[in-house]
Amino acid sequence: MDYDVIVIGAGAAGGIVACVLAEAGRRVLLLERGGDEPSGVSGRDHLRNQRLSIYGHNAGPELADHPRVAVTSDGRSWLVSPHELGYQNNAACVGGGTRVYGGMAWRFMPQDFRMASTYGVPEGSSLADWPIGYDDLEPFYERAEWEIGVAGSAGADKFAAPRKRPYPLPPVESNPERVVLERGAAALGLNTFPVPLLINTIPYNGRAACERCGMCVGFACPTDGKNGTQNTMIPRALGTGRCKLITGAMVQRIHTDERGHASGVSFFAGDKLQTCMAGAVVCSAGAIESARLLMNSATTSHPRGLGNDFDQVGRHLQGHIYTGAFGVMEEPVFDGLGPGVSIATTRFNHHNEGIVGGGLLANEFIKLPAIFVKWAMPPGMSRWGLAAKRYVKENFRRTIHVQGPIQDIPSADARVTIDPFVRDRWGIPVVRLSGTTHPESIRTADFLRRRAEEWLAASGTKRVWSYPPRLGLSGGQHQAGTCRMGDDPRASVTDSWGRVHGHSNLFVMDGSIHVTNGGFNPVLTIMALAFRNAIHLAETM
Amino acid sequence: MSGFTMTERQLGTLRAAADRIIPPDETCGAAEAGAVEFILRLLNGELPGERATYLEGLDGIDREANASYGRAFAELAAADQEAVLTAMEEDRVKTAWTISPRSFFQMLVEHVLEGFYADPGNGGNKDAASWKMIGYRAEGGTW
Repeated sequence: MDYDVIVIGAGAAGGIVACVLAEAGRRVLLLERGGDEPSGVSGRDHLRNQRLSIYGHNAGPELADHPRVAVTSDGRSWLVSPHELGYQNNAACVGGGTRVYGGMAWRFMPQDFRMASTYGVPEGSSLADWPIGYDDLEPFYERAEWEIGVAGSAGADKFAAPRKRPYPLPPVESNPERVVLERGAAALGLNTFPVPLLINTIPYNGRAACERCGMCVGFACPTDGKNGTQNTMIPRALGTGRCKLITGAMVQRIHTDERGHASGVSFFAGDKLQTCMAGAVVCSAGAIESARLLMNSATTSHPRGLGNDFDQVGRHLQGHIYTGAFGVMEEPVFDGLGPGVSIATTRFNHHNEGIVGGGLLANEFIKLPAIFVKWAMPPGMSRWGLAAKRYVKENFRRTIHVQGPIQDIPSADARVTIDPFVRDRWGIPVVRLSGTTHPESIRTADFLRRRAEEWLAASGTKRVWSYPPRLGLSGGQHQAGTCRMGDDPRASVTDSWGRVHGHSNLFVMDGSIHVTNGGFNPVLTIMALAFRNAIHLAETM
Repeated sequence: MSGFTMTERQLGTLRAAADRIIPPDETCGAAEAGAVEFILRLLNGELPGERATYLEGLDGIDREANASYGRAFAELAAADQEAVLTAMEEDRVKTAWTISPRSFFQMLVEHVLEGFYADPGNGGNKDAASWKMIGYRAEGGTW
């Protein structure tokens, strides 16, 4: 055997899994299809980044090598490139999405693990409870917060579940937007607090504090003051001497024997196919690629793919429908200091009369000017001519954008399957993305955007607007749900430890195993689950 | 920059149209900030498929100017240039087009906005002119 464990994907979860196992004395092979320094990741191209990827992006995967097929609701399909709409991309590089995220660090609420019990199951949806609850994850949220580094104000969020330990870093400083929004929140009686962020507000873990440049979302931090797995867990893993990281490694399939036991994986390093054997295999490739890999690893005894005897792999794909509102103030409220996001409320995550779930609301990160002119101009305003130029000049610094993710109501038809025809550069069948989130999500989103409008109006804006949410497939950077965990092998893919049903040493550890995805950015939950399940694997193997 | 380029006349039309989309006032307009360079870079980079559309579209703008005012687009007064572009935006053109004038104009607006408001590294926001105008600084803070 070459390794004790092979971990596929060096992102939010994979980096943690590799580190926990290596520090527990296991020999780990960590495979990442992207690079350590993908082209453009240190760049500042406002049109080719993970926030605005019109002509390309900056953190992988390579545009030409990784096509997917997207399918519309009326059955038309087309080939999509990683930077295009419909691809549902997340970054592919060492650190994965944590390299280029904004770094909001939310704990889910207890109700988020019990959505079906709390609300009932909307007809046609696949809403379900998690097999574990908040209390199971609480110690691991704490580990994620301390070992990766979260800045926040413990106790300031009145709706948050109890925590045992405060945040390791003080919260981000206030800014003029927050002052204005606090005023509006006070008028409405809304509890608000500083957004918890995976950002060094002071030096931490041997790295300097954030310099507040504002290039957070979509870019790698120029001063390394943003915390991801690439600058915390992965270096620790490599430091043990027991973890080998191979970048540019595209996994073709997982090998299993006739009893379903995983024996290793085959992967392309460059264009050369290699096979490594291991005692256990962990898929941490993200909700879309982990599902793809399980299905592409079909055998004669599991013809639909590993863990897929009951046609569950790839279903319930969910990310977040985002909603919110824009408001324009009389006076400038933009100070240009990153991260910009500084105030949130979780009042609307639950307890909304007649609504299933809900979501957080927060002000936006520093907005790139190119994004402002595309998305933040008021409806009915021409985007060209002298009036448009003067509008941007006048209002870039006066516009507040309050938004948030709503808890998607999942649908079994929102899914990842394998396309019968299209293959990637290495000849591996690619995914086909089809279906939509359940329409109940739209009611929730519409509810939340009205709350965003009210908050802005109460804050003294002279004009407020928003757009109705649209139903579609959601996945992207918050992708989850495609290998949901559960106790019933007929209705889930893994048990609560991420172990694939029927395969004693094959695991999924990433957002794929989320049953539902909270009305929050999911990364801290992905990290907490990775800690919990990797520790369990280390203790039991 | 290699390969694709345009005639002087097409470049003149493009420059003039860019300045109607983001006109100069007390701060520079799109043309001075580098909109043409930005678009040529795209056509030589990620958008070779739009080259023919651009040539058709720019010739079309000029043809419309001639049909309405008897002169080249670049020679028209600003208000007349604006009228030509507005007619295209509203699909009220006077001459025969082989492409949709409205779609071409929308693409042109998008490209000019991108060039003008994106980072100077893209070639269309010389000396960060638009950022200075609105108060955005890539290093954090405001101008």
